[in-house]
Amino acid sequence: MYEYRVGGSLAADDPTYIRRCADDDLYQGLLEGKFCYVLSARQMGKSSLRLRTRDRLESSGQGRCAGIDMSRIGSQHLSPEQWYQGLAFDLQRRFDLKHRVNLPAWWQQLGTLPPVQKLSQFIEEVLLSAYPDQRLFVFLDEIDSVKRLSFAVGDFFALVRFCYNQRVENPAYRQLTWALFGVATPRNLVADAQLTPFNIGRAIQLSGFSLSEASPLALGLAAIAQQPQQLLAEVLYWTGGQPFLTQKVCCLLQERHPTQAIAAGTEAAVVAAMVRSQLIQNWEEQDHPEHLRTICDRLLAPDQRSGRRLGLYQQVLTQNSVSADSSDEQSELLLAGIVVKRQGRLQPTNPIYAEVFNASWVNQCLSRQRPYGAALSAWAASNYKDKSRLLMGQALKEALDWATDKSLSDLDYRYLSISQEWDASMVRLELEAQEKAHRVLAAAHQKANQIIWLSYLSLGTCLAISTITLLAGLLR
Amino acid sequence: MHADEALAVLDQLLSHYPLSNLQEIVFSQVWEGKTYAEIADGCGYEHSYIRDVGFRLWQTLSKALGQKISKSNIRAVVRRYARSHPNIGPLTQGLDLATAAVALELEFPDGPVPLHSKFYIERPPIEAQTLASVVKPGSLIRLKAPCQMGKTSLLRRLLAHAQSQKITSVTLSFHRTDRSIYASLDRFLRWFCANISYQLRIAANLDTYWNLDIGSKISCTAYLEDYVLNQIDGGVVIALDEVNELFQYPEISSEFLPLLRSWYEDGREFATWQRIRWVLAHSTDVYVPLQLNQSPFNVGLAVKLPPFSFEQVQELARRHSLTWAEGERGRAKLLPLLSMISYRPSLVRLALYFLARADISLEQLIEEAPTQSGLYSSHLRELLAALSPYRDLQVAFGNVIRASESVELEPITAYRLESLGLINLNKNRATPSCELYRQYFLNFLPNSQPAADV
Repeated sequence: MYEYRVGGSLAADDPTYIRRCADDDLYQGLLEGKFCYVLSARQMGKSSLRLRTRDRLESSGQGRCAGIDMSRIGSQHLSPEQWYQGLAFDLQRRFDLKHRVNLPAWWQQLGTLPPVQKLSQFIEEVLLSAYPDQRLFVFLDEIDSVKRLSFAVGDFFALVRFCYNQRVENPAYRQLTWALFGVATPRNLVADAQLTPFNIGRAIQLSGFSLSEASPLALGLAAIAQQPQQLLAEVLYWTGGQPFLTQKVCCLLQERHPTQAIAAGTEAAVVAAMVRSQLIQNWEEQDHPEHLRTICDRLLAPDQRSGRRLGLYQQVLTQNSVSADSSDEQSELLLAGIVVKRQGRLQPTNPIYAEVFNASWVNQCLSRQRPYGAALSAWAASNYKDKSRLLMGQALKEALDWATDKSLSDLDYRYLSISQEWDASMVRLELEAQEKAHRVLAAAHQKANQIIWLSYLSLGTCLAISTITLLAGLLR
Repeated sequence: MHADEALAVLDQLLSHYPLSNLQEIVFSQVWEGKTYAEIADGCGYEHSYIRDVGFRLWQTLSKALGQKISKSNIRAVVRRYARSHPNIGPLTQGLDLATAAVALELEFPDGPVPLHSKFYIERPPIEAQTLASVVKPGSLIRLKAPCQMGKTSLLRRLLAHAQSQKITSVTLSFHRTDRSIYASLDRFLRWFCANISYQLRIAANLDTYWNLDIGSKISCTAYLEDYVLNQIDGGVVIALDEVNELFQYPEISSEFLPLLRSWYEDGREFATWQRIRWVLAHSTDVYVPLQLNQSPFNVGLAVKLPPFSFEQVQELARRHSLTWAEGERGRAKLLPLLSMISYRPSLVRLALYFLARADISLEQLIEEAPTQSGLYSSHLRELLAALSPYRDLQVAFGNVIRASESVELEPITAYRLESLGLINLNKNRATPSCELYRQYFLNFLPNSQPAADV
């Protein structure tokens, strides 16, 4: 019986494994000795691709492979020394070199050298010399787990780059080829352009299944549908070829339908009804194994970009396409898996995500995030009358900044615009008050001047009179 | 011959054609004499679909056995086949004898239902699914249910089934362990490895493999892969019971659970790791934040043990020879009891045991149930003792049993009460899990009056 695999990685011989462009891109890249990296959203089939590629390389005698799960090497309380030695230890085990050197003693005799240098020596002296005529492929999975270590591992990425630079001087390094897998952007992992291996490497794009790629999956639908390929096409319409969802929907169809139950022409209706009832409605309760929850968590992660990310997603959702740039928000949405890049534009990944995380869902999230939430509720509770709840000055400016690029509820806009009016009217009142004060002051000034002039005049008159009186007295 | 033994025979017979879960369910229920219509009702499929699955199964079996197989002759043919192939299912005869020996006796229901007890009631399709999964290389089963739902009874059956297939087993219960092992990840992983070695009768040899310079997670992995798995032949089931105990120690669980997942994933890649079958039993949802791809709770077969159905209670009553419980009249008599104990398997079993001994009437039993002198008194006292060190749990549970509607609880408190089986959770909102607990704790929870009312 044809069994679909929902969640977890697929063993190399799993019949439901779907070969995509990425399979050949990666395989060719590695054969050419390129540094390859597969960085994509979760549950896109990275680990399955790794297992498959490894099996392909080994069974065609291209060389030896080591797959290393980076999350297993690291833990929170590890020191750099332990981490690098752990990595060396796993390389040694995976390349079957356990008995070649006694690693703890070997490591110790290098004394106080920085650990990255010890690893570098380990690669050159132990690894490369062990198999002088074989190619060695190192697959590092879960590479994003290095971000959770308590120290920076920029040195490690620099070492990977060093292994490539070194090929000119030391041909032994041509034996060694690296491949990285994870949920991260290159910039996330290494900030420094001088140290990063990513700008000399090849990015392998992992997209959803196309209909022609996915056609082997129709095998499992053959028993339940008169037109299995047509049924599969409807599945792909809903999942956009997302591997986890495609397997899940196929599995649900297989479980829930008797033989030949899906007649020709009814495929679209059958799949739509099932996707709605089993995946979309009450998705929080039906999300086993977990898939949608993680997307939601990534989208709403409480960091300083969460508002901008949600706003951008809203634009993609409502305009159905936004031109791609390399902003942090865009890469975060891509890594969450909720949008994909097609022909230089971001689009919703598939109708399932677009219906689960729909416009009203976004609005609810935005309303939970708005920085003026408490004030808005209090204002609404006062039947929209309590003017002391309106935003003014700096608070208003921050709220308006936050609201840019988002489309909010009518209530939000009503509140913001009334706040703006109120703020403006308060400013106007203040200006008027100032003007009035000016006028009062000017009037007072004028009056004071008049008084001064009058007093000069009277003083002058007095002087003149007294002078005349004096002169008259003298003449007499 | 039990249905699962017959399934074991089929596993051998059809080793190149493993049965799907549904095929196994159909087979085992047909074995127990159910009609397709009953099976379809029981597992929520269309009647015609189940008939179809059955039809194709008989075809496959006919081909494998070289004779025409149908619903009517399947029992006879498989039994005959097992007898003529004595190397298959070595436990078969032993089991039948053991079952016969206890057939007429009552058992005092103390703890899990003994392995060959006739008082074990199957809850299809759970048994067939899990038994099939536990023998598959590299599999992982998650059993989730609160206390008193029959988790340990099922776990024992799984391990016995594995043993009958020459798969060794190890059980680690996190409930019984000394708290000091949770002091650090290193200490915990050393305990984990030492315990596994001990149960497999392998001399613990931790220091050879343990190297703090590379960290304990890698040391532990190397110990299991290079030492333990090298010393044993064939497969091993590692059953971890009460995994929820670990959730209280986020420092440990946030490292150990992803490690467990990575070992499971290694089963896809390396034959050595494929020899391990994992079983995780837990009484609450995992509340340690784990990355999706690092959580063992996101892979394998998930099984949630439900309470008994009414028919299952009646079946158990029948096995206790309680003839008055039959039919509609029996239903009317049983319902007041069942609504008090919410069909919880171990509570049902205890009540039926006392009724079968006939030293108490049903009415008296119900009336005394939530008191200090009732049949559940020792169970209830245990629960009370479990709450007594925790003032916060007492207050929270007190609020739940006094409220007429569901109460929102702080998540950790909610999970702790859920794991004791005291509440049902719907998102964060809690209701008492059964009337018995509500009535008992209303009277016996210390300071059960809320502070505001005093």
